[in-house]
Amino acid sequence: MREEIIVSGRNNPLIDPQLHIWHWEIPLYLFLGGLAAGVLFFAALYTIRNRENDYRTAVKIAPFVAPIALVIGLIALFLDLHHKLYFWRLYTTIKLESPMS
Amino acid sequence: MRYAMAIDTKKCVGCSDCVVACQTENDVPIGYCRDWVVEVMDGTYPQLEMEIRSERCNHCENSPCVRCCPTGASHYSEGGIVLVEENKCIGCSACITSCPYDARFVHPKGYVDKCTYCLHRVKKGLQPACVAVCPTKCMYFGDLDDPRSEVSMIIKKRKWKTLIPEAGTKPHLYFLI
Repeated sequence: MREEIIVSGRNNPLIDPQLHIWHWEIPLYLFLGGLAAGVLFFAALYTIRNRENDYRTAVKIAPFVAPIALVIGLIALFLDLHHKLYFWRLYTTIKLESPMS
Repeated sequence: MRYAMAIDTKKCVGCSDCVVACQTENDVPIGYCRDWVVEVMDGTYPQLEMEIRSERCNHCENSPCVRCCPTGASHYSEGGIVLVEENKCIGCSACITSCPYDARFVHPKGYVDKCTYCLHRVKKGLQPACVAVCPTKCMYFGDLDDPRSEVSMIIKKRKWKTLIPEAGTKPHLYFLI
């Protein structure tokens, strides 16, 4: 048996009792980002294959969902930040190694 | 220069003095801590083994937190100490997720905070608060590149381990066993 106890009583929010950092904002952003990409993908696919008239909704109307979804998704992403006023730092740095950048 | 700390698990009694000293020295907000004490009980009765470790940021040489920081707020400072620049940090928590040691937390003011090896004290030639206050003198702090520093000597003499070596982070926090 192996038992590990933090005897000094660590209780850092988001980390203890278990790692729980990202809330509903991130799943919402990922879902909406995927939705926008999917809608645009099928609109492009049908346009390329000359089948616009068979799938009028997918090609003519659905692409309008994409920018709206992206805006809502990015607002959610902004809400998730803890140091919100410094979000512009994201635009002034390029870091290839970081998945967030 | 490569700052490192060695902690003698055979001498540590788990009194948590280092935790309180750190909170006082660095004005850590109430309810948060940058270092903590872990008690590990291992084995089957009656062959039980106990190990007490005072854990904190490992100031890794290959830090996942520095790599994944999108704004460069997490960076290597003097002597390989990993620091967070408050007014570059956007509080995205990517570094908290990437840290295998759970050493980081979000400060109530919004930025991410962590152990600094008390760089402000080290620059003045003092020891980090936790090391200075340890009643059993089980912590050693110094420069790994200097073969005569306390840490280099004790690491040469004793058996040691680092935490989660499989993460490949090359920690600068050694536990003497």
